[in-house]
Amino acid sequence: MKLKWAKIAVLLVMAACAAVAGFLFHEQRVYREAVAASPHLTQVKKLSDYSPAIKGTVNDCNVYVFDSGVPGGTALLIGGTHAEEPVALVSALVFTENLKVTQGRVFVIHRVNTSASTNTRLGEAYPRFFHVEAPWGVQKWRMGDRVANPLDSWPDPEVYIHYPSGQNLAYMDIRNLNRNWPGKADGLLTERTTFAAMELIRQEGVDLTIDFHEAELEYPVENTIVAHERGNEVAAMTSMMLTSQTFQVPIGMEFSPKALHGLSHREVGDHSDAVSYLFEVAEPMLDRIRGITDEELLMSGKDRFVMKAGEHNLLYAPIDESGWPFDLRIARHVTTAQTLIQVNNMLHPDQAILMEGIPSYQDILDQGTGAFLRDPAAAPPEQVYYD
Amino acid sequence: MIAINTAVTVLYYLICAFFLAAIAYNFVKTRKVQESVLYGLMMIPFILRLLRLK
Repeated sequence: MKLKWAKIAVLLVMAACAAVAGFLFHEQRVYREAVAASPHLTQVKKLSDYSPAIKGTVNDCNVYVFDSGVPGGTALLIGGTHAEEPVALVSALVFTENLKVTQGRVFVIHRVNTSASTNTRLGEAYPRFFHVEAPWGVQKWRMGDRVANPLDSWPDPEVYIHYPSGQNLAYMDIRNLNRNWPGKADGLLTERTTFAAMELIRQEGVDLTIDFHEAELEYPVENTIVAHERGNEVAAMTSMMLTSQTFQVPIGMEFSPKALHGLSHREVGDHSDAVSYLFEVAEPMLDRIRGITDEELLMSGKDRFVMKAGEHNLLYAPIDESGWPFDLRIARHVTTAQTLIQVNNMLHPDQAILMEGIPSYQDILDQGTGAFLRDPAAAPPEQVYYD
Repeated sequence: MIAINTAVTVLYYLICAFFLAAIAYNFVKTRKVQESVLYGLMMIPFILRLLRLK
Protein backbone atom coordinates (compact mmCIF):
# COMPACT_ATOMS: atom_id res chain seq x y z
CA MET A 1 0.00 0.00 0.00
CA LYS A 2 2.89 2.33 0.90
CA LEU A 3 4.52 1.67 -2.52
CA LYS A 4 1.25 2.40 -4.32
CA TRP A 5 0.92 5.82 -2.69
CA ALA A 6 4.57 6.58 -3.39
CA LYS A 7 4.03 5.82 -7.08
CA ILE A 8 0.94 8.00 -7.18
CA ALA A 9 2.95 10.83 -5.62
CA VAL A 10 5.71 10.32 -8.21
CA LEU A 11 3.17 10.43 -11.04
CA LEU A 12 1.63 13.63 -9.69
CA VAL A 13 5.03 15.36 -9.38
CA MET A 14 6.02 14.11 -12.85
CA ALA A 15 2.76 15.35 -14.35
CA ALA A 16 3.25 18.75 -12.71
CA CYS A 17 6.81 19.02 -14.06
CA ALA A 18 5.69 17.96 -17.56
CA ALA A 19 2.78 20.42 -17.44
CA VAL A 20 4.96 23.37 -16.39
CA ALA A 21 7.67 22.57 -18.97
CA GLY A 22 5.06 21.93 -21.65
CA PHE A 23 3.30 25.21 -20.90
CA LEU A 24 6.56 27.17 -21.14
CA PHE A 25 7.52 25.56 -24.46
CA HIS A 26 4.01 25.99 -25.86
CA GLU A 27 3.76 29.63 -24.73
CA GLN A 28 6.88 30.57 -26.67
CA ARG A 29 5.77 28.60 -29.72
CA VAL A 30 2.36 30.26 -30.05
CA TYR A 31 3.00 33.79 -28.70
CA ARG A 32 1.96 36.38 -31.29
CA GLU A 33 3.97 39.58 -31.62
CA ALA A 34 1.86 42.66 -32.25
CA VAL A 35 2.95 45.19 -34.86
CA ALA A 36 1.30 48.62 -34.91
CA ALA A 37 2.28 49.57 -38.44
CA SER A 38 2.88 53.08 -39.69
CA PRO A 39 -0.26 54.77 -41.06
CA HIS A 40 1.65 55.03 -44.33
CA LEU A 41 1.87 51.27 -44.78
CA THR A 42 0.43 50.36 -48.17
CA GLN A 43 -0.15 46.63 -47.95
CA VAL A 44 0.77 43.49 -46.02
CA LYS A 45 1.49 40.44 -48.11
CA LYS A 46 2.52 36.93 -47.18
CA LEU A 47 5.77 35.37 -48.35
CA SER A 48 3.70 32.60 -49.94
CA ASP A 49 2.21 35.21 -52.29
CA TYR A 50 5.51 34.91 -54.14
CA SER A 51 5.92 31.14 -53.97
CA PRO A 52 3.54 28.37 -52.88
CA ALA A 53 6.60 26.47 -51.62
CA ILE A 54 6.21 28.11 -48.22
CA LYS A 55 2.41 28.15 -47.94
CA GLY A 56 0.99 26.54 -44.82
CA THR A 57 4.31 26.55 -42.96
CA VAL A 58 5.31 28.54 -39.88
CA ASN A 59 7.74 30.52 -42.06
CA ASP A 60 5.00 32.02 -44.23
CA CYS A 61 5.75 35.42 -42.70
CA ASN A 62 4.28 38.89 -43.24
CA VAL A 63 5.82 41.18 -45.85
CA TYR A 64 5.13 44.84 -45.05
CA VAL A 65 4.96 46.99 -48.19
CA PHE A 66 5.49 50.76 -48.36
CA ASP A 67 4.79 51.94 -51.89
CA SER A 68 4.98 55.67 -52.54
CA GLY A 69 3.44 55.33 -55.97
CA VAL A 70 6.29 57.49 -57.28
CA PRO A 71 8.77 55.70 -59.56
CA GLY A 72 12.10 54.99 -57.91
CA GLY A 73 14.07 52.18 -56.36
CA THR A 74 12.96 49.22 -54.26
CA ALA A 75 14.59 48.05 -51.03
CA LEU A 76 13.97 44.95 -48.94
CA LEU A 77 14.85 45.06 -45.22
CA ILE A 78 15.19 41.61 -43.63
CA GLY A 79 14.98 40.98 -39.89
CA GLY A 80 14.82 37.73 -37.98
CA THR A 81 17.27 35.67 -40.01
CA HIS A 82 18.85 34.60 -36.72
CA ALA A 83 16.25 34.85 -33.98
CA GLU A 84 18.85 34.99 -31.19
CA GLU A 85 19.91 38.37 -32.62
CA PRO A 86 16.86 40.40 -31.57
CA VAL A 87 18.18 43.80 -32.64
CA ALA A 88 17.71 42.60 -36.22
CA LEU A 89 14.00 42.10 -35.57
CA VAL A 90 13.44 45.38 -33.73
CA SER A 91 15.48 47.42 -36.24
CA ALA A 92 13.18 46.21 -39.00
CA LEU A 93 10.20 46.94 -36.76
CA VAL A 94 11.31 50.55 -36.20
CA PHE A 95 10.98 51.00 -39.95
CA THR A 96 7.56 49.34 -40.16
CA GLU A 97 6.12 51.40 -37.32
CA ASN A 98 7.50 54.80 -38.40
CA LEU A 99 8.18 54.78 -42.11
CA LYS A 100 6.72 57.00 -44.77
CA VAL A 101 8.09 56.50 -48.29
CA THR A 102 7.75 59.46 -50.64
CA GLN A 103 9.60 57.95 -53.59
CA GLY A 104 10.18 54.32 -54.49
CA ARG A 105 9.19 51.29 -52.45
CA VAL A 106 10.37 49.59 -49.25
CA PHE A 107 9.51 46.01 -48.27
CA VAL A 108 10.12 44.92 -44.67
CA ILE A 109 10.20 41.41 -43.19
CA HIS A 110 10.55 41.09 -39.40
CA ARG A 111 10.66 37.32 -38.94
CA VAL A 112 12.02 35.72 -42.07
CA ASN A 113 12.77 32.53 -40.10
CA THR A 114 9.77 32.55 -37.77
CA SER A 115 10.39 28.93 -36.81
CA ALA A 116 13.72 29.87 -35.20
CA SER A 117 11.93 32.27 -32.88
CA THR A 118 9.75 29.53 -31.39
CA ASN A 119 12.51 27.90 -29.34
CA THR A 120 15.78 28.92 -27.76
CA ARG A 121 19.25 27.48 -28.15
CA LEU A 122 19.60 24.08 -26.48
CA GLY A 123 21.67 24.10 -23.32
CA GLU A 124 22.29 27.86 -23.32
CA ALA A 125 19.62 28.94 -20.82
CA TYR A 126 18.46 31.84 -22.97
CA PRO A 127 15.46 33.90 -21.83
CA ARG A 128 12.32 32.94 -23.77
CA PHE A 129 11.17 36.54 -24.24
CA PHE A 130 12.63 40.02 -24.15
CA HIS A 131 10.93 43.33 -23.43
CA VAL A 132 11.33 47.00 -24.32
CA GLU A 133 9.81 49.78 -22.25
CA ALA A 134 7.81 52.32 -24.24
CA PRO A 135 6.02 55.46 -23.02
CA TRP A 136 2.71 53.54 -23.25
CA GLY A 137 3.84 50.27 -21.61
CA VAL A 138 6.04 47.29 -22.37
CA GLN A 139 6.44 45.56 -25.72
CA LYS A 140 7.30 41.84 -25.63
CA TRP A 141 8.90 39.60 -28.25
CA ARG A 142 10.09 36.01 -28.52
CA MET A 143 13.82 35.43 -28.04
CA GLY A 144 14.77 32.61 -30.34
CA ASP A 145 17.52 30.39 -31.64
CA ARG A 146 19.95 30.71 -34.54
CA VAL A 147 18.33 27.87 -36.45
CA ALA A 148 14.79 26.69 -37.19
CA ASN A 149 12.89 24.72 -34.57
CA PRO A 150 13.45 20.95 -34.96
CA LEU A 151 9.69 20.56 -34.59
CA ASP A 152 9.40 22.26 -37.99
CA SER A 153 12.43 20.80 -39.77
CA TRP A 154 13.87 17.46 -38.72
CA PRO A 155 16.00 15.36 -39.03
CA ASP A 156 19.12 17.15 -40.19
CA PRO A 157 21.36 15.44 -42.76
CA GLU A 158 24.75 14.05 -41.69
CA VAL A 159 26.33 16.71 -43.91
CA TYR A 160 24.39 19.62 -45.31
CA ILE A 161 25.12 20.07 -49.01
CA HIS A 162 24.25 23.57 -50.13
CA TYR A 163 22.17 23.99 -53.27
CA PRO A 164 23.22 24.86 -55.97
CA SER A 165 26.93 25.20 -55.11
CA GLY A 166 27.39 21.71 -53.63
CA GLN A 167 29.44 23.19 -50.78
CA ASN A 168 29.54 21.00 -47.66
CA LEU A 169 28.40 22.62 -44.43
CA ALA A 170 27.72 21.48 -40.87
CA TYR A 171 24.58 19.37 -40.42
CA MET A 172 22.59 21.94 -38.41
CA ASP A 173 23.18 24.62 -41.05
CA ILE A 174 20.32 23.07 -43.02
CA ARG A 175 18.15 24.94 -40.45
CA ASN A 176 20.27 28.11 -40.52
CA LEU A 177 18.48 30.45 -42.91
CA ASN A 178 21.65 32.36 -43.70
CA ARG A 179 23.30 29.24 -45.10
CA ASN A 180 20.38 28.40 -47.39
CA TRP A 181 20.19 31.21 -49.92
CA PRO A 182 19.11 31.10 -52.73
CA GLY A 183 17.04 28.09 -51.65
CA LYS A 184 14.99 25.60 -53.61
CA ALA A 185 11.27 25.08 -53.97
CA ASP A 186 11.29 21.39 -53.02
CA GLY A 187 13.88 21.62 -50.23
CA LEU A 188 13.52 21.62 -46.47
CA LEU A 189 11.88 24.48 -44.57
CA THR A 190 14.69 27.04 -44.67
CA GLU A 191 15.53 26.25 -48.30
CA ARG A 192 11.90 26.83 -49.25
CA THR A 193 11.85 30.05 -47.21
CA THR A 194 14.85 31.55 -48.97
CA PHE A 195 13.48 30.38 -52.32
CA ALA A 196 10.25 32.29 -51.63
CA ALA A 197 12.24 35.35 -50.52
CA MET A 198 14.27 35.17 -53.75
CA GLU A 199 11.02 35.03 -55.69
CA LEU A 200 9.90 38.20 -53.85
CA ILE A 201 13.17 39.88 -54.81
CA ARG A 202 12.93 38.81 -58.46
CA GLN A 203 9.19 39.43 -58.96
CA GLU A 204 9.22 42.86 -57.26
CA GLY A 205 12.43 43.95 -58.98
CA VAL A 206 14.17 44.71 -55.70
CA ASP A 207 17.28 46.87 -56.15
CA LEU A 208 18.93 46.33 -52.78
CA THR A 209 18.50 44.04 -49.79
CA ILE A 210 19.66 44.66 -46.23
CA ASP A 211 19.92 41.67 -43.88
CA PHE A 212 20.21 42.76 -40.21
CA HIS A 213 22.39 40.70 -37.83
CA GLU A 214 24.30 40.78 -34.55
CA ALA A 215 27.58 39.06 -33.75
CA GLU A 216 29.71 38.08 -30.79
CA LEU A 217 32.77 40.24 -30.12
CA GLU A 218 34.97 37.17 -30.55
CA TYR A 219 33.88 36.98 -34.20
CA PRO A 220 36.02 38.86 -36.75
CA VAL A 221 33.08 40.00 -38.92
CA GLU A 222 31.92 42.67 -36.51
CA ASN A 223 30.47 46.21 -36.67
CA THR A 224 30.55 46.10 -40.41
CA ILE A 225 28.66 46.07 -43.70
CA VAL A 226 29.29 42.93 -45.73
CA ALA A 227 28.63 43.78 -49.36
CA HIS A 228 28.22 41.93 -52.61
CA GLU A 229 30.83 43.19 -55.10
CA ARG A 230 28.20 45.25 -56.95
CA GLY A 231 27.64 47.16 -53.71
CA ASN A 232 31.23 47.85 -52.72
CA GLU A 233 31.14 51.56 -53.56
CA VAL A 234 27.89 52.18 -51.70
CA ALA A 235 29.04 50.20 -48.66
CA ALA A 236 32.45 51.89 -48.57
CA MET A 237 30.99 55.38 -48.76
CA THR A 238 28.37 54.52 -46.11
CA SER A 239 31.10 53.18 -43.85
CA MET A 240 33.24 56.30 -44.27
CA MET A 241 30.34 58.71 -43.70
CA LEU A 242 29.10 56.99 -40.55
CA THR A 243 32.56 56.48 -39.09
CA SER A 244 33.62 60.08 -39.67
CA GLN A 245 30.37 61.83 -38.77
CA THR A 246 28.12 59.68 -36.55
CA PHE A 247 29.43 56.55 -34.85
CA GLN A 248 31.89 56.53 -31.95
CA VAL A 249 32.94 52.98 -32.78
CA PRO A 250 33.75 52.77 -36.51
CA ILE A 251 31.72 50.65 -38.88
CA GLY A 252 33.74 48.85 -41.53
CA MET A 253 32.88 47.23 -44.83
CA GLU A 254 33.90 43.82 -46.04
CA PHE A 255 33.76 42.04 -49.35
CA SER A 256 31.39 39.10 -49.55
CA PRO A 257 33.66 36.08 -50.11
CA LYS A 258 32.93 34.57 -53.52
CA ALA A 259 33.56 31.01 -52.36
CA LEU A 260 31.41 31.14 -49.22
CA HIS A 261 27.96 30.03 -50.25
CA GLY A 262 24.51 30.16 -48.74
CA LEU A 263 24.77 33.63 -47.19
CA SER A 264 22.46 36.44 -48.24
CA HIS A 265 25.25 38.88 -49.11
CA ARG A 266 26.60 36.38 -51.66
CA GLU A 267 23.63 34.51 -53.07
CA VAL A 268 21.03 37.29 -53.35
CA GLY A 269 23.47 39.31 -55.44
CA ASP A 270 24.46 36.30 -57.53
CA HIS A 271 20.93 35.06 -58.22
CA SER A 272 19.02 38.30 -58.75
CA ASP A 273 19.48 41.86 -59.93
CA ALA A 274 19.43 43.10 -56.32
CA VAL A 275 22.60 44.24 -54.56
CA SER A 276 22.87 42.48 -51.21
CA TYR A 277 24.20 43.89 -47.95
CA LEU A 278 24.45 42.38 -44.48
CA PHE A 279 24.93 44.48 -41.33
CA GLU A 280 26.64 43.28 -38.15
CA VAL A 281 26.70 44.93 -34.72
CA ALA A 282 28.30 43.73 -31.48
CA GLU A 283 26.20 41.70 -29.05
CA PRO A 284 28.09 40.45 -25.96
CA MET A 285 25.36 37.94 -25.11
CA LEU A 286 26.44 35.86 -28.10
CA ASP A 287 30.02 35.51 -26.85
CA ARG A 288 31.01 32.05 -25.63
CA ILE A 289 32.84 33.47 -22.64
CA ARG A 290 29.86 35.44 -21.29
CA GLY A 291 28.51 35.14 -17.76
CA ILE A 292 24.86 34.71 -16.80
CA THR A 293 22.75 34.62 -19.96
CA ASP A 294 19.68 36.60 -19.02
CA GLU A 295 17.56 39.44 -20.34
CA GLU A 296 19.66 41.96 -18.40
CA LEU A 297 22.74 40.96 -20.41
CA LEU A 298 20.76 41.01 -23.65
CA MET A 299 19.51 44.55 -23.07
CA SER A 300 22.53 46.14 -21.34
CA GLY A 301 25.24 44.44 -23.40
CA LYS A 302 27.44 44.52 -20.29
CA ASP A 303 29.39 41.45 -19.24
CA ARG A 304 32.48 41.43 -17.03
CA PHE A 305 33.92 38.28 -18.64
CA VAL A 306 33.64 39.75 -22.13
CA MET A 307 35.15 42.99 -20.81
CA LYS A 308 38.06 41.03 -19.33
CA ALA A 309 38.65 39.41 -22.73
CA GLY A 310 38.65 42.90 -24.21
CA GLU A 311 41.31 44.03 -21.73
CA HIS A 312 43.52 41.24 -23.11
CA ASN A 313 42.86 42.27 -26.74
CA LEU A 314 41.07 39.02 -27.51
CA LEU A 315 38.06 40.65 -29.18
CA TYR A 316 37.30 42.21 -32.56
CA ALA A 317 35.24 45.07 -31.10
CA PRO A 318 35.93 47.41 -28.19
CA ILE A 319 33.94 47.09 -24.97
CA ASP A 320 34.06 49.02 -21.70
CA GLU A 321 31.80 49.61 -18.68
CA SER A 322 29.16 51.07 -21.00
CA GLY A 323 28.76 47.73 -22.77
CA TRP A 324 26.80 47.47 -26.02
CA PRO A 325 23.28 48.45 -24.93
CA PHE A 326 20.22 47.50 -26.95
CA ASP A 327 19.41 51.09 -27.95
CA LEU A 328 22.92 51.68 -29.28
CA ARG A 329 22.75 48.52 -31.38
CA ILE A 330 19.33 49.51 -32.75
CA ALA A 331 20.54 53.06 -33.46
CA ARG A 332 23.51 51.75 -35.45
CA HIS A 333 21.43 49.41 -37.60
CA VAL A 334 18.64 51.89 -38.29
CA THR A 335 21.09 54.69 -39.11
CA THR A 336 23.27 52.46 -41.27
CA ALA A 337 20.24 51.37 -43.31
CA GLN A 338 19.09 54.95 -43.79
CA THR A 339 22.55 56.15 -44.75
CA LEU A 340 23.16 53.28 -47.14
CA ILE A 341 19.91 54.01 -48.95
CA GLN A 342 20.83 57.72 -49.14
CA VAL A 343 24.24 56.87 -50.57
CA ASN A 344 22.60 54.50 -53.05
CA ASN A 345 20.31 57.37 -54.07
CA MET A 346 23.38 59.50 -54.84
CA LEU A 347 25.24 56.85 -56.81
CA HIS A 348 22.17 55.37 -58.53
CA PRO A 349 19.60 58.17 -58.97
CA ASP A 350 17.36 55.86 -60.99
CA GLN A 351 16.95 53.76 -57.81
CA ALA A 352 16.08 56.69 -55.53
CA ILE A 353 14.12 55.88 -52.37
CA LEU A 354 13.06 58.81 -50.20
CA MET A 355 12.00 58.06 -46.64
CA GLU A 356 10.57 60.09 -43.78
CA GLY A 357 9.70 59.38 -40.17
CA ILE A 358 12.67 57.21 -39.22
CA PRO A 359 14.38 58.36 -36.01
CA SER A 360 17.97 59.53 -36.17
CA TYR A 361 20.90 57.90 -34.40
CA GLN A 362 20.87 60.53 -31.67
CA ASP A 363 17.08 60.36 -31.28
CA ILE A 364 17.25 56.64 -30.52
CA LEU A 365 20.15 57.09 -28.09
CA ASP A 366 18.46 60.02 -26.32
CA GLN A 367 14.88 58.73 -26.17
CA GLY A 368 15.36 54.97 -26.33
CA THR A 369 13.93 52.51 -28.83
CA GLY A 370 10.63 52.38 -26.95
CA ALA A 371 9.88 55.99 -27.88
CA PHE A 372 9.60 54.87 -31.51
CA LEU A 373 7.32 51.90 -30.97
CA ARG A 374 3.58 52.35 -31.34
CA ASP A 375 1.03 51.00 -28.89
CA PRO A 376 -0.88 48.15 -30.59
CA ALA A 377 -3.76 48.59 -28.14
CA ALA A 378 -4.18 52.25 -29.07
CA ALA A 379 -3.59 51.88 -32.81
CA PRO A 380 -6.55 51.52 -35.20
CA PRO A 381 -7.26 47.79 -35.60
CA GLU A 382 -6.64 47.94 -39.35
CA GLN A 383 -3.03 48.98 -38.61
CA VAL A 384 -2.29 46.12 -36.19
CA TYR A 385 -0.70 42.92 -37.48
CA TYR A 386 0.85 39.88 -35.84
CA ASP A 387 4.12 38.08 -36.55
CA MET B 1 14.02 14.83 -49.24
CA ILE B 2 10.77 15.95 -47.62
CA ALA B 3 9.31 12.42 -47.97
CA ILE B 4 12.39 10.86 -46.35
CA ASN B 5 12.30 13.38 -43.51
CA THR B 6 8.60 12.71 -42.95
CA ALA B 7 9.20 8.94 -42.82
CA VAL B 8 12.09 9.35 -40.36
CA THR B 9 9.97 11.64 -38.21
CA VAL B 10 7.11 9.13 -38.07
CA LEU B 11 9.57 6.37 -37.11
CA TYR B 12 11.06 8.63 -34.46
CA TYR B 13 7.68 9.18 -32.83
CA LEU B 14 6.95 5.44 -32.94
CA ILE B 15 10.28 4.79 -31.21
CA CYS B 16 9.44 7.48 -28.61
CA ALA B 17 6.07 5.83 -27.98
CA PHE B 18 7.73 2.42 -27.63
CA PHE B 19 10.24 3.68 -25.07
CA LEU B 20 7.56 5.56 -23.16
CA ALA B 21 5.48 2.39 -22.97
CA ALA B 22 8.53 0.38 -21.84
CA ILE B 23 9.37 2.90 -19.13
CA ALA B 24 5.75 3.03 -17.98
CA TYR B 25 5.69 -0.78 -17.79
CA ASN B 26 8.82 -0.76 -15.63
CA PHE B 27 7.30 1.99 -13.49
CA VAL B 28 4.28 -0.19 -12.79
CA LYS B 29 6.28 -3.35 -12.17
CA THR B 30 9.06 -2.05 -9.93
CA ARG B 31 8.92 -2.69 -6.19
CA LYS B 32 11.45 0.03 -5.32
CA VAL B 33 10.40 3.62 -4.63
CA GLN B 34 13.74 4.99 -5.87
CA GLU B 35 13.34 3.24 -9.22
CA SER B 36 9.78 4.51 -9.58
CA VAL B 37 11.10 8.08 -9.14
CA LEU B 38 13.75 7.39 -11.78
CA TYR B 39 11.20 6.00 -14.26
CA GLY B 40 8.88 8.91 -13.55
CA LEU B 41 11.59 11.43 -14.42
CA MET B 42 12.55 9.47 -17.54
CA MET B 43 9.01 9.65 -18.90
CA ILE B 44 8.84 13.49 -18.95
CA PRO B 45 10.94 14.15 -22.12
CA PHE B 46 9.20 11.34 -24.00
CA ILE B 47 5.79 12.78 -23.14
CA LEU B 48 6.87 16.27 -24.26
CA ARG B 49 8.17 14.86 -27.53
CA LEU B 50 5.05 12.85 -28.27
CA LEU B 51 2.92 15.93 -27.60
CA ARG B 52 5.23 17.89 -29.95
CA LEU B 53 5.91 20.45 -27.26
CA LYS B 54 9.68 19.95 -27.46
